[in-house]
Formats: sequence, structure tokens, C-alpha cells
Amino acid sequence: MELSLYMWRTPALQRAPVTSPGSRADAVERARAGDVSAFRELYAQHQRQVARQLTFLVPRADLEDVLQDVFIEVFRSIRRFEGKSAFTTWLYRLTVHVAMKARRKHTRSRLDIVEDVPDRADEGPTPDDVSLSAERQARVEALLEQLSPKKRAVLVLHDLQGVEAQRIAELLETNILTVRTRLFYARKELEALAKDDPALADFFGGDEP
Amino acid sequence: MKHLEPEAIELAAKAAADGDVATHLAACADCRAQVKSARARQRLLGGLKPYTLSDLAFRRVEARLDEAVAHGDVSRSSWRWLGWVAGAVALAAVTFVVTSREPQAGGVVAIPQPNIAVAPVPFHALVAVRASADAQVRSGAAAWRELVGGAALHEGDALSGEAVTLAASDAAWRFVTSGSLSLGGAASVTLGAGEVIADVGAPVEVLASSRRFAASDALFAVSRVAAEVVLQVSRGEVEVLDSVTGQRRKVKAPEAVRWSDGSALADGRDEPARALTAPAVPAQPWVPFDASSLTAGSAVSLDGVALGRAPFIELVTSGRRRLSVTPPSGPVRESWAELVAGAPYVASLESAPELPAAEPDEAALTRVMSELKSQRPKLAACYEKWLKANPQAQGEVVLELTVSAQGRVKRARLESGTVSAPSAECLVTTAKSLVLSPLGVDATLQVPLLLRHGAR
Repeated sequence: MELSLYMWRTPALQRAPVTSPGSRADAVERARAGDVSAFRELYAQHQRQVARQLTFLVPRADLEDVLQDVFIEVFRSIRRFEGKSAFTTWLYRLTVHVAMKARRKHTRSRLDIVEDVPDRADEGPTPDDVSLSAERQARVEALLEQLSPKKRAVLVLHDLQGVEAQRIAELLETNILTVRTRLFYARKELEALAKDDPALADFFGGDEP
Repeated sequence: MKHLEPEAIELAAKAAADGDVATHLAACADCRAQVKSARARQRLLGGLKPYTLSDLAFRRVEARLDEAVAHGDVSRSSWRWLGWVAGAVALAAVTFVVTSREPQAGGVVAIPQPNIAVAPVPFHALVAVRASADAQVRSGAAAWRELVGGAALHEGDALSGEAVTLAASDAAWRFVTSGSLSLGGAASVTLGAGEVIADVGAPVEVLASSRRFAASDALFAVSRVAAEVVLQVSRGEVEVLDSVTGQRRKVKAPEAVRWSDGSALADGRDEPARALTAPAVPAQPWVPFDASSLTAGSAVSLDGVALGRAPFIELVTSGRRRLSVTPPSGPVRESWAELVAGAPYVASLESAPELPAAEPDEAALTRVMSELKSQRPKLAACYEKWLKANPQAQGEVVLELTVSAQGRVKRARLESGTVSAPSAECLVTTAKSLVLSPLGVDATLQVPLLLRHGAR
């Protein structure tokens, strides 16, 4: 079904050159000059990368909306991109900022669509399993959502996306000490929340390793 | 004793420590506890699977970007992507994009523009009501009054209701909508999530929930979820009411509007109606639905829309419909009714066995569920309204959606739960406006919603 959807792509979109670094740089320049078709190319080139970067920074259900927000912001801000850094670096910074802002919009209330009302997780894999069950995944994501946007961003960037503290400080336009402090408290908070969750507490239980 | 640095703790949690770190850990219980916690956290986070977005989701964002950007100070021609409503494109008729909203300042993303079209053919005036249920009529600025069978309707009258069957001198109309419909003259159609289907010789169909409009031989599309559209039919004016923001505005620059094939709106107007590509509007032939055999007073509904209480005979559209009969004393009986065009259907409890329902495949259901979750913010807006009235409001509710094989939400209702009445109405209206991936078969989905206020 999704394949057929792709088949509707306009001929112009199918022709969009998206591969070579040269064409990417060209697309950035043309987008800066106001060429909207270049902006479309940028979306085609970077949509999946941005979606990956947004992973865990925003609630899963908001991913689509925030992805849209990011590229709207790209469109609005591309003229201010001066080429002092790589476009992908600039885009990453913008993505993180939009994600943090987007999450703030959703902290007030939540409406969740669930397959079933969550209940106790007596079954399923042990904590030693490499991947989490769908339920545990959902619960961990819910814990991440309970962190403040700043703490969550640092934790996700550092512990899940493997970004170094110095680089996070640059992305968030703060200093490395602040990043480390946020990371410390984010980890502590996450652990406390996980211990309170019956389905996750056993990760932190057991004997001394 | 000086404890290990956080980086050393993290490294020790990842791999067995050796050297000085191992020596230190052997002597420091606090550091061992920290390593244990770090290891647990690493396992917890390391098992997370990254988010995934379907190709359809990327396409949706693409189309929304198109809408949001199209109004900028850039040329529209180089940025006219296809809309994201599958049905509208597949119908290969007259889709176009209209934008009039300026991007908001401060980096806040404006709600995308609807794709709208203007009906070039005036609607026919109606003269008589054959039957109605829970409908009201208003003439001019007068108060709404109940619409009853046999009532006369005049040019400019406005209707509002759930189900009305109307009869003109040479045609029958069926009006099913949560919005309202005005007739003739400077007529307007205001739609929420509902549908207006009329048979006046040529097919006339307005389906707000699928953003598809058709009048005579022309077809129109609106790809904005949860927007209401007012078509000033005879004057060719279009107003858009955004049900989220409440903003109402007129469509600007209709000359800039293009059909989905790139032709101008005027191309469609100048062409003889029959020269236009035949819209793939599904035929909706009528079926006389005879409920006179049911126990008197039994409440009857089809696909969740109340038809009335037996005995009655009603014109309904053909197809596989979910029939609900609630006798005066007794539980509701539900069954599938196969309504065949032109063949009267006699409803009776005995002749309405449960039919095996065709089931959508698991992958399609998973995809649709994912899409529903991605559109959660639209439903959450209803909850936000409730929270404004009651900051402590929260609850659980099961939303039942009847989804067509093409992915259009035909019916929505709240099956159970605890939400305020306005919130429930909002949820139903919003749910009807959702567009989902095709399921391949008609299906009824039950979507449990948890409404909770912020954790902090």
C-alpha cells in the first residue's frame, strides 16, 4: 500500500537530485536564495536523518508533527545559515532546539492512544534481554517524557545518541559543566522513576553485579 | 576516599574494570553501587528501539510543508506537491491548494492550509422533506425549528441535523452531517465531519471527512483535517473555518487555484461539465429500508446513525451497513445488513443474523493504529478544551471508529468512558475528520484513549 503511495510522487520530486555532496551544497545555496524547489530537495535529503535525531527527544506520537516543525523552521531560517558550519550541523542544532520547544508544548496534558490499558508486566523478557518488549519500551519512553526538556535532551543526546558532552554544550549553547550537571540529575531522575515502575524496577534490583 | 569520576563509572559499567579502577571498586561500596546503577540504566536504555516513521507519514509531512510554504514569498509553481489525501489524487479530478495564512512569527508553525475547491454548479433548490431525524431548519436569521416530514424548504433555508432524507421534484437527497446545509441562491454548505450525498440526476457528493467534494460532474478536494468549509456555491466563494483555532477566513486569489492536473480553475469552469474527467464518485443508489416489521418503537440505526423508531420506511444508501435495533424492552441487537441497490430491505430481528465480518490484515491494522497515534495531537486538542473548564479533568474513553476500506472514517462514536459532553463531541467530530491508510475492507476499530493531565 505504501509503495503505491510513493508512486504518486510528482515527476519533479522523483527527479530531485539527492545524492552527491555537491548537489546538497547546491541545494542549500539555492534554498538560501529563495528557491523553494531546493527546500524540497533538502527535505527529501534530510527527512529520515532528522526523524532519527528526533527519536526519544520528543514523544513518539509527536514525531511527525515535530518533523514538520523542524523543516518549517529550516525554511524560515535558511537565510540566516551563513555556512560557518556544515549544513548538517546547523540542521542538527535546529532540530534539537525545535524538539525541546515542541516538547514544552505538550507537557501540560496528555492524551494517549493505547492498544490496551496498561497492566502489570509480569510476563515478557528478562532485563537481560537485549531489546525491550513493546510494553517496556513504551514505559521507558514514558519515563523519558517525565524528564524536563533540558534534562531529557542531554540524556538522550549523550546516552542514546552518543554525542559527547562538549558537542552537546555547543548544540544547546551552554557550557560543558551545565551539560554534565544536567546529565547527572537526568540519570538519577530516570533511575528513580524506573524503580517506581513495577515493570522496570527489576532492572535495578538483584544482586551486586 | 575519593570516588570514581562519572566517566569512569560509566566505563566500568560497560566493561569489566581492571587496573586501578578494579582496585578502587573492590574497596569502595559506593562506587560499586554506582556502577551497578549505571549498568542497569545502560541496559534499560540500550534496549530501546528507535522510532520509525512510515513512508506515508513522511508523505504527510511533505504535503503539510507544501501547504505551509506555498503561501510564502516564493513562487508557488515550483512548490506544488501532491496533496496527501489519497482519495483526492486517485480520483484525478480538481484538487488545488489555497493559502491565505501568513506564517506565524516566533517560529510557531501555522496550521497548514486546507486544499479547497469551489463548486461551479449551483445546488438545486429543494422543495419537500420526505423524512428526517433529529434535524432542524432555519430561514434567514430566524430561530432553528424542528424539521419534520412533509415540511417545505425554500431557497436559502439552512438545515442542520444528523439524518435527513429530502425530496425535490425530480430527485431525492440524503443529508447526513454534523454541520449544516443551506440551499439555493447564495447557498452555502458548512460541513464538519459529515457527508452530504444527493442524487439529482448527476452525482453530487460532499464528504468532509475525506476532504472530497463533488457537484454534478466536478469533483473537489480538501485535504485539511478538522477544517470546516463553507462553499458559497452560486457565487463561487469559499470560506474556511478552522475548527482548531476558530479562525474563519475567505479564500483569496481563486485565480491562483489549480486542479490536481495543473490546470486553472477556470479551465474546469469553461469546459462543458461532461467534458471533465468523470469523477470516481461511488454510486450511492438508494435502498428502501423497511422497518415496519420490527416491534413498534424499536430504535433503528445504521452505522451508528439513528434512522428513527419503527415502524418507518426510509431511503438509505446501499452497501454493507451495521444495523442496530433496540427493541422497547430488550438489549440492542447488532448485525450486518447487506443493502442492495434497488432492492427493498425488510429489517427484522429474525432475518438479521450476525454476518462474518471481513477482517483487515494485521499489518494494515498496525499501520492505521500508528497513524492514529501520530494524529493524537488533534484529539488532544479536545482534551485541552476540557482542561480549560476543569484543570483536574482526566479520564478514559473508548473511541469506536467505523473506517471504510479506503481509510475514510465513516462513523465515530464514544463507546464508553468518562469525559465531558463537549469533549466527547469534539473527539467524535475530530475523529471523523481523520484520514487513514486504506484497510482494504470496512472495519470497526476500537481505540482506547487515556486522558491525563500533566505529570508536573
